[in-house]
Amino acid sequence: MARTIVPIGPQHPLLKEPIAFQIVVEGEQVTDSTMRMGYVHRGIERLCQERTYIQNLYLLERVCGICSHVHAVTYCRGVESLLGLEVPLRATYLRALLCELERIHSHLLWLGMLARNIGLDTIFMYAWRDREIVLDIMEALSGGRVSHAINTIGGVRQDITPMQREVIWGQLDKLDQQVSRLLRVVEHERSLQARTRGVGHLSLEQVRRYCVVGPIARASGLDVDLRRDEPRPPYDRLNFDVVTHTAGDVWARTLVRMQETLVSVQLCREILRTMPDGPIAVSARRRVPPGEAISRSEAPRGELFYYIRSDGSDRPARVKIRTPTLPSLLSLQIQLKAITIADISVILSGVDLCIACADR
Amino acid sequence: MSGIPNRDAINTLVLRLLSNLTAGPGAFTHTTTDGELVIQLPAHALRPAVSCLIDEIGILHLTTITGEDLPPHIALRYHFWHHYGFTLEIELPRDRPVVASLVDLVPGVALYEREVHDMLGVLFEGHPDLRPLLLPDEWQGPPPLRKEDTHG
Repeated sequence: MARTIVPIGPQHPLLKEPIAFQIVVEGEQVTDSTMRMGYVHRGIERLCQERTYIQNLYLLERVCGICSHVHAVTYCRGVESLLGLEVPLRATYLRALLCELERIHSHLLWLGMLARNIGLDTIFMYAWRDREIVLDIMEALSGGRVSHAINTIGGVRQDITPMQREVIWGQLDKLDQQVSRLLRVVEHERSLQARTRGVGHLSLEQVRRYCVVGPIARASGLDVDLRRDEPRPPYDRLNFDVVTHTAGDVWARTLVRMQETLVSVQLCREILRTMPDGPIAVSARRRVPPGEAISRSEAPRGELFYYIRSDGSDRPARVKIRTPTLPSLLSLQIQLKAITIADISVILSGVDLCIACADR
Repeated sequence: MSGIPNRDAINTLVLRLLSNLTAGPGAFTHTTTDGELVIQLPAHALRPAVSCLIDEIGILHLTTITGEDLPPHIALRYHFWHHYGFTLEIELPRDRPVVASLVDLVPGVALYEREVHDMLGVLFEGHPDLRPLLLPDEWQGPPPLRKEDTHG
């Protein structure tokens, strides 16, 4: 049968961000694919070298439009390690609280996108309605729904008041209820399973060889979560389960993300319950002593990596960012093979791409 | 995961495996401020070092490659993770930055090598596809992270 190349993107109906795929098809069968990115490349790593450490904080929060907070936290932790700063424990709890809220936000947003792309608009609307609860909590905490600007080098800029805590506690109950219900709906929704089971399969070995991270790796049985495996305060003081599944398809990824959302709700409660009193920031010098720091976090999509090298001035000599979407994009080379055209949208939605993150 | 080795055990393992390959005995390692081991290797020892690690550890997780222009060299830092992070660092001459690709040993390296090729003009021998990843197709001029291209 004749080979046809179907271009999808850079602007396309599937994803909200620009990325181009060239899908090679023979009839209905996809045989190969290539990918082209860089449409939202902003040269952020280069820009970092021209800004001071504190200016970079605000730049780096804009690498991603979904997991903005975890970028700022990971960067701050790197700079704090270069400065030899001991961040107050309360600040780490406040950072972790927003990290977990952001994970809930990201996973619910993703569920909505997946549902919408396979035509289940009801689940999309439920997921995004419930996502509003978490956005409201984040707005109450930081004043922003997506960009929080709550971090500073040495801690956080805003504390949580007892009244906010009460309100958030109530909203978490509501969130727990709604997400549990959503999970039940998803688990019993036969058309969702029909579209996702067996689609986009990655074996444990493929996941490891292609260095895939986060929920995709955990859905293929790779038991890695940096919150547990490289615990930074306060995660070394918190109890939580790492969700893994073994099927390795989009269905398993759905379950992993949904169950992780519930774990994150629990974590938020535990953080609120056990948060110690104390200061929320220490002051930091503008000039950073020479040295190298490596900082890793478990972002909603997996391992987020920052490498920061200081030459002793008030500007970093090199900032390297590796976002978890890059290995996910690489894994598409395996996933977009020997499938039908109808599965492309399921697979692309299933990996939870964040193109702005990947392009930087 | 039970029985996770501690950081010292991993660092000792990595150092023992690579002891024959480092540029000099002991002197060429340091740790980052947060305790990750960095081992400097001569460029030709990178592939043997990675093969050696794979033989002992199994499948290796590579997080990314940080490339940096440090005239007269280009430094490449390969950041791995095996219970804890560690980094292998090599230096390439700036006027002829060529190094063997790791794609066949660690398939996950493909996009990172392409990115370093884009940003610093390093040639990875044996990489199947070094087309631009982040730069536009019509990009003219030197790789953007090279020092001669500073605008500030």
